[in-house]
Amino acid sequence: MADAFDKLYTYITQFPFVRYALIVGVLIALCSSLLGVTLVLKRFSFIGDGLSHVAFGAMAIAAVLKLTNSMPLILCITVISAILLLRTGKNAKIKGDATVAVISVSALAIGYLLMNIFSSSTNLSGDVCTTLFGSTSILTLTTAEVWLCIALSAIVLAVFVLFYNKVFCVTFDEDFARATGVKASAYNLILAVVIAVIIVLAMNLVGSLLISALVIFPALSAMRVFKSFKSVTVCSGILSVVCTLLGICISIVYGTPVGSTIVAVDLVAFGIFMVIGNFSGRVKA
Amino acid sequence: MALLTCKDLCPGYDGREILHALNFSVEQGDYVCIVGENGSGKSTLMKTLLGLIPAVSGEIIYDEGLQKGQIGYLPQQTDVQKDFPASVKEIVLSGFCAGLKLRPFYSRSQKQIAQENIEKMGLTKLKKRCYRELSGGQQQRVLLARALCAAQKVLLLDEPVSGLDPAAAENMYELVGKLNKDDGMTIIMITHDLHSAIGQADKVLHIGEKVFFGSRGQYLEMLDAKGFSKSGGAENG
Amino acid sequence: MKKVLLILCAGIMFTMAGCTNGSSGADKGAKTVDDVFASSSKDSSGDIQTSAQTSSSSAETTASSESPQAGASYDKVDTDLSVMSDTMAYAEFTNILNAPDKYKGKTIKAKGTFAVAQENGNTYFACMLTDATACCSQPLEFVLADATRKYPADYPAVDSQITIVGKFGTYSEGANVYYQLSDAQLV
Repeated sequence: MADAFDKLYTYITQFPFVRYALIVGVLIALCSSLLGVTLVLKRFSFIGDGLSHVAFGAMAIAAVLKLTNSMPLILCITVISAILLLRTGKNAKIKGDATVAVISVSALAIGYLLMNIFSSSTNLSGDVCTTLFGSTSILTLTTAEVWLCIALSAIVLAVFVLFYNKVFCVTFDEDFARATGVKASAYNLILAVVIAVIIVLAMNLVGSLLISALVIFPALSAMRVFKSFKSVTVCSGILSVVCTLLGICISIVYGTPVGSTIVAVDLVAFGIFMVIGNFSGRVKA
Repeated sequence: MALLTCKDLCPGYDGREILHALNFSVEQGDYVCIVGENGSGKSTLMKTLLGLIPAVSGEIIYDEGLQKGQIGYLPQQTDVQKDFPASVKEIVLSGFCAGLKLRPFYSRSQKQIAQENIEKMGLTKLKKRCYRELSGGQQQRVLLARALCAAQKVLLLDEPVSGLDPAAAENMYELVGKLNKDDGMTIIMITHDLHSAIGQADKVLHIGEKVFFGSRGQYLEMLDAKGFSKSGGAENG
Repeated sequence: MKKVLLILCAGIMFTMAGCTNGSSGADKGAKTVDDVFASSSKDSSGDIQTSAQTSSSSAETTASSESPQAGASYDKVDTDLSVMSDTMAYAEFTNILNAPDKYKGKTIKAKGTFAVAQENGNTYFACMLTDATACCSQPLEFVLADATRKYPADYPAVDSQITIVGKFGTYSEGANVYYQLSDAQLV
């Protein structure tokens, strides 16, 4: 055990990319879990999943176009899809979840197809794999990407704090909010954009197939134990940060894939919280 | 001038009208009950009055002094709320959301008013409790306290007693009646429960196959004379 | 609400603190790397980190000046991927490929499976590095210092585990630039 800590310490002190990974990981975890509470409560958990596949498709397009900095393009496409998805979710001719399924699967398939047909990069399989499962991409960020991640996370956090009360109101009861004159659709739009940004960020951390876990696990765990929106939000933020740090550390020391390790830690935490929730619930009842 | 006047109002969804050409007006301080069978369009009418869905045709004229921020609304419970982790205090405060405008946080006076409304609804002891752990009646009182934070003049209630036991329902009616008498709040309420609700109302709007709008006395007379609501219920039942 | 803010701030501060701690501890860390890793590198392992970050040119010149002779043993390794966990090794290797100029002339040691490619009459040897997911692998091409060795007699079996050490560099073939370890040795 002490050996593992030594190793971890050495990695952290020796390799700047490990420090970047920890910083970016913490920020992404924080953002995704805060918004995760709202997504879970609004029954939007599946949208995160759909958007992550869209982001993958966008990445494929960026790769085909041979863009050196693919982030802006991915961000644009994902944000637009998020807005469209939330729009159709409301007054849909096709059911909301079906729309998401159609879009996400198509994006995934076309993305992979494009990358295979126009494969030019020598590191193609690595790109695809790391985007899907997030094996090492958090550890191979360029300095520019690190700063972009930090800036975007800061914006997301600021938006969340400033709109916290409105987000609560719209999440709890959209009809009431609109009836009393809250511009609910504007806040939904903001939420959609923020979600898209988080998805694109989180793709680096856990890969697009595992993003949903990062978004919903901490929120679900916190909801098991805590009773107010504020405490649930705070707890899910802290929980997510702790799990992510732990996950990154375990994966670099023991050589496990980063994304799946983080999700596994989240899952364990969820189990613990579920037990605590059941226990405290039974005591009260 | 009436607080709210409907002229040939046809509420409905997607251009398909559910109710045809309603004409009625609500005065300041009125207590109006909206009754009618299930599926007759009561909730749709209320959502139209609130501006949540556009009317198919016709118009609603609001009194000039009546702004959006002065209307409170007590909607029916949604699925989302059943397992929502939120404390009573948080929910009541969220009634002020529209009043925040661009400010991010609630002011001290808003918190003060929220506290008063919590007391008024007899929720002081439950203030920190989680909403989803409360009984049906307590939950409705929380939502009523929230509606009071949003409303200064008008309160619209959509079946406030559905799913409540008789004692809780009685308590709810009492609270609403008090708001009408003591605070001069205008009440527009949808209800199933003809007898106890109509006991307090000044005016009744009956919608369905036949539409009636008038004072409680007139409505009761008509009920006795024709078995108006009962036959209506049987047709659609 | 204030509490939320406070915790958010605390969280950010925590990460920032962790960051500065880490960088200030970089020179301290050079000592422990000897204890933890079997690598005998002293100061150069610290060097490569700073050069990766700021692209300092001094580290490059010192490293490239001492070119090891054929058959000489590498007692000084700049980047030792063989002692890292799979995840770290793959990440560091990807970083090397993303910024190859910073690693030119450095001695790199890596562990992976042996692979051979034959094309246009040439035979290429590589050490395949796989990541922890095991779905991505990237080849690290090498040319043994001992040119008298014949394939396949004097080489390990394909897909067997090898550890290779050599000097990182680039060469071009046609329009493409490739990376390889030259003067390499199987360990």
